[in-house]
Amino acid sequence: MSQLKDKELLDMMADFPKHELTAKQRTALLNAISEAGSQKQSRRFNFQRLAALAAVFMLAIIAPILYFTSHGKDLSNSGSVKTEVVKKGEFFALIDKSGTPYYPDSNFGIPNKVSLLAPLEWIAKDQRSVSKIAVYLWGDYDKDFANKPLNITATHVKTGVKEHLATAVISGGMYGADGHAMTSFKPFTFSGEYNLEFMAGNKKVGEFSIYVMEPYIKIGDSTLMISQEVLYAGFYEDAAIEVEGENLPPEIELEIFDLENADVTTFTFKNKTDYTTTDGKKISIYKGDFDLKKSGKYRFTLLNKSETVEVRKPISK
Amino acid sequence: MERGHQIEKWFIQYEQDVTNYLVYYTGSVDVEDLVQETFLRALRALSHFKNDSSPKTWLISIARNTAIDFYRKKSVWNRLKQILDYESPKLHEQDTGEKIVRKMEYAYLYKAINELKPTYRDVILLRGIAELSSQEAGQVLGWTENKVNVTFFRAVRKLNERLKEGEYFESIKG
Repeated sequence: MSQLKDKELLDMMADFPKHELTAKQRTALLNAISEAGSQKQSRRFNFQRLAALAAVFMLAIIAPILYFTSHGKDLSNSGSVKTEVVKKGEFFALIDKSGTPYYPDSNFGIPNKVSLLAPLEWIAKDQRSVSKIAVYLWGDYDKDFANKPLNITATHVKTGVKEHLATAVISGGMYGADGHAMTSFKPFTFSGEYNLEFMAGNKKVGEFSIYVMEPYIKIGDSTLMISQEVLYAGFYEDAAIEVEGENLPPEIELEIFDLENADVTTFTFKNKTDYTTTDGKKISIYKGDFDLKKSGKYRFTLLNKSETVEVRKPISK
Repeated sequence: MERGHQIEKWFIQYEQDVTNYLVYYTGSVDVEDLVQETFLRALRALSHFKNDSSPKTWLISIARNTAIDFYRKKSVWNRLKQILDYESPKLHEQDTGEKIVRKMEYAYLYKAINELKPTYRDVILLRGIAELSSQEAGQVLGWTENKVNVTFFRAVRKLNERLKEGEYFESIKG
């Protein structure tokens, strides 16, 4: 027999080794689900409605303000209201009742006050890095958090511009914290230091600062997923390009034109992976290598769209 | 039934299906966090669950999205590929005797599946590992049943080509 038939393949794969969690892992996960389920269940009815109403109400008030401030702030706030940087957050493990540590390399904030599961990089104007953020809070759940919305605001230290990032429902404790919330932030408008402030109802739970990097490099509907501020001369291996759209080719070419020496180099990006975002956008990710021989000005072209990109020299901070 | 109890019941029923699928989808046996996140997402989204798909199909769909989100967020698609590339040989490195032969068969076939383009790999893993029907795989991928069948047919054809190219065929077919 020289061909593997459909059914034969399925039969062979059905015979692959089966994997399952250990008894200990199953018990731990079952407890976590049970805990999460009971916390939500007990307060779900009034609390979620209240929070949803609060969110809608606050959005209705804040949206126009944000709109006007975001359109006028470059002029009105530049250099006018510099804010002090609050305490810088730190990475620390969440520790549950049994002493098991969780997320030591991504949980970021102030121990015993407030923390969040941070992305690898905070990127300005990027929804990806601020979606699905878990926030953990410490305090007296019934007194401090129950039936109260969690409001998170960010103040851009350099300009003093304040942005409302999210309003979330506070659920019960998890991983040793007394309350937690899942939310997505509004993307940061600027790069630089931001002070994040966490309010449960009218009470401040805590605040800490983070550093937001400059946006990814955008070329038409494509995004080269490297922050502009770390795009230096060098070789980039397995860089990712995300493209929004349908019926995209299996491979795309990134043309890099050196504006100073009129030198063109083309790099192929492939290994296309497709997915659809929760809001229905079709996205494809391509992977590839490219290099930039020196700093300077370049024109990047992808799928017939071009963008001038400055490759900087690394500077010491 | 309370939401928490419903998910607990499904966890007991379908944990192995979800874990097994995530292991083959990510190429890593360390999927405990993804399994937990899958069921917590299911808990949060239970009100959106409609009975037009089975709980297993729904959970596999959430598991797949959870894995995609995780790797996308961490920007480690590359790591995923590396894991997939290197995980298979490890499967048989640890075993001895007759088991090696069987495991090598799996490893070769699994490696060849992982070398297919993502849509082919996706549909093969949903049909072969998650053991979903064409209709159920279509629900996970947002495709019609016909598209699943056509893609699966093409995927198997491509897989055969790869197995021949890699001279794996004789090993697999014995």
